[in-house]
Amino acid sequence: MIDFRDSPDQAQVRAMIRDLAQGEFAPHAARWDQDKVLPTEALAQLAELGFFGLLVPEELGGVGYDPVTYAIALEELARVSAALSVMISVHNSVCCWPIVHYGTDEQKARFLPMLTGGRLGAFSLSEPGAGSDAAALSASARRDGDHYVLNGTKNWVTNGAQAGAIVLFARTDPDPAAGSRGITAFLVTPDLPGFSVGKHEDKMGLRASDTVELALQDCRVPALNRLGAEGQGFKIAMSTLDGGRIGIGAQSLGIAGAAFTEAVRHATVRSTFGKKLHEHQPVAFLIAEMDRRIAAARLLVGRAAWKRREGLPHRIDASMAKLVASEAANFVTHRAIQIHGGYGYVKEYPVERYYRDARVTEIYEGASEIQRIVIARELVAAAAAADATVATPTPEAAS
Amino acid sequence: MDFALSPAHVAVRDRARAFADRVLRPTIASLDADRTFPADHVPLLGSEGFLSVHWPATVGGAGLDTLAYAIVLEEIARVSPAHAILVSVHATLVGVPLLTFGTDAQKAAWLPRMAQGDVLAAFALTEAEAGSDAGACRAHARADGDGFRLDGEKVMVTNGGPAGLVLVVASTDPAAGAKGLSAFLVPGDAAGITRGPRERTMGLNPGDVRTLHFENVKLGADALLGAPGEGMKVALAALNVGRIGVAAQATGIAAETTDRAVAYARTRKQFGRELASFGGVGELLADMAVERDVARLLTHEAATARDRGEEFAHLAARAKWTASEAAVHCADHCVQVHGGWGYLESTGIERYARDARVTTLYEGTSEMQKLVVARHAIQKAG
Repeated sequence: MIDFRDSPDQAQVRAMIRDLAQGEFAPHAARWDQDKVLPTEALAQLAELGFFGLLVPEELGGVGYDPVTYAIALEELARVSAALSVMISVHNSVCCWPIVHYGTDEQKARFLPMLTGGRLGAFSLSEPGAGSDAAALSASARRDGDHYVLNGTKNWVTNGAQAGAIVLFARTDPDPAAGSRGITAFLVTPDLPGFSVGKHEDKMGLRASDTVELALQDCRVPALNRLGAEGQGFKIAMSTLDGGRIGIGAQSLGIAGAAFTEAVRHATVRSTFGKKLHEHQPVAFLIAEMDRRIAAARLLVGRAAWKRREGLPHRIDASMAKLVASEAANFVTHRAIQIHGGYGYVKEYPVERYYRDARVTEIYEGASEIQRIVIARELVAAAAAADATVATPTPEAAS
Repeated sequence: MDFALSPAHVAVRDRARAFADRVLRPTIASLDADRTFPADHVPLLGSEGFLSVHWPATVGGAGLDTLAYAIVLEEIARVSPAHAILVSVHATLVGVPLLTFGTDAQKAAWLPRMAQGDVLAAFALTEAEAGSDAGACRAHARADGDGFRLDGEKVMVTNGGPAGLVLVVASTDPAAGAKGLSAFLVPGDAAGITRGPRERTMGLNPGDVRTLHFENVKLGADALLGAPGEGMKVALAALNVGRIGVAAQATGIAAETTDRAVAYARTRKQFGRELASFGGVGELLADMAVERDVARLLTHEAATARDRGEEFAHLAARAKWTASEAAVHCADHCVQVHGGWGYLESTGIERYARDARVTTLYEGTSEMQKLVVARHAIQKAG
């Protein structure tokens, strides 16, 4: 039965995390950003509360949130600090999740206690020469007895310098014709010989989160650390990113929500030409536009998370959620500065930080252009599948 | 959060889709080209329960909810947006105020016959000088014995020609402005009503839209719907639900044009490749699908809020505004994807672009919806 509101349980989780984030983290978020401070105390506190095992089932030491509740958690963290939320999102969505779903029992036993216990995890797909076109990655993995020998450079690795484990993708089939089928996933740890952390990026936003380059120089990874089968890497990456994209959608929603609150507050407090700002029709229309974009993002993120929870196909939904939410975050934060005027441009107010933080949401875990390609491809595939069915296809019974 | 349609909603959707494909699809091209009002479809819609989806069974309605109503309108509009607005005006702009403000006698007099399609209803609020500013209306009704005498002119009345019942908003206290408006149930055959010629609209060609002139129309006391001075309240109660209907209609346009664009783009080849494989075309398709889904979600959000008895006016405004723009964009993109073929009447694509255009105008322009949405956001923050 259709009901787009939070369930009572979901509302309770939302309120709990909002209180925590507003009370404990909000006072520090601006300083973390300005000084590029890794919020280690906040992370320790979050680990204590189970945030490092949000997607790990209870029997494996996590708290086992379903995807809908998980999205709520990320949204509420992002409302206060997008940098904090991306660290938690990467750790859970694209490091712990693939281990839970594709790892052997031995791998789960070896890696999950460390990760749920408070050591950050990371995900490493991008390379200097392979971003959106991930299948073109060139880092190599050559089998050598009971090890693989990895060589190459990876970049844009969130949590990479702190990570206890990195889900890292490399090419096991050097034949370029193998394309995406030649890619394999590995669990790389920082203690391995030949692994080193390269430069730390100086970013426009998300400055409290650490993003690094990784160098693999004859890095010897035990074959026991291979995640999934040889050649299965790209499939693992894509199914992991379906979840990751919902996470970025939720993060975007949090940033947009925070900026909207500030914009509305300013529009009701500030007066010009003898009227409150919001009484000027162009400002009122901006507020309406922000409101509906956030509403659209909230429903699409919710639907994607719900379908993931229900085990329904959701690749197109995740892409729509990520696309719309990230564009909403950029629109809303940009216009929030506009409504603030000069006040929006100075660091005394938080909206310029929201704007800088929002910018990357249209880029990482699949740029908007990639999301549109995924959506178009899924539309065509669905139409072809419907054509191929002799009987009238039963459309999905969801909103 | 739950996004699953109940089995009852899936069933009514499938029934509406089957009806639209069987009854409307074969005839819509000629109805549109000839501007033929589909009089023989009205009783068919009635017997399916589609003229009374969200009315209780006690008054002869189908006994379903607002969500079901939105689902039915979307399916009808996929094939014929003109039929969808015919239904919306009848079932909501007149049906909902009758259900909300009508006496038992008024309900019994009109609703069962309306449900069957024996009587078609029209809603007459807009005047030449009172559009979005409905409070400026000049039609007036003066007390006359037990009843009233109605004079005035209403424009752009959908279902105006065939209407057996017209809900007319007129002033009973000109000094009081919008607070002096009252609503009247005027039989379509009352003496003193003359009908102007059918308007030649840009789209929704099968629709019967005209000016209605009221000259010294004698009404009984039982014609007054609600209390004197409640006319604006009646009109807004109608329009708030009406906007859910227009949003659903617009979602239907967005859905059909998206499906057709995808179907064409994946078979049509240029430069040796399917159109859909070109990045620029793929982006159009993706944006259409996103707008369609957002339109539907916002519409269902508003409908389910009403069904739970919650405040929903701002949700209806947000859905109507967003879905109507989605309809305009999707219909336009659909023409674009079809190229020159989309510009030909024979492909049935350009009709959606013409039909979509009015959805951002009627039952409150996008600009009016934005004000409703902004006002709510400001109030919530305050």
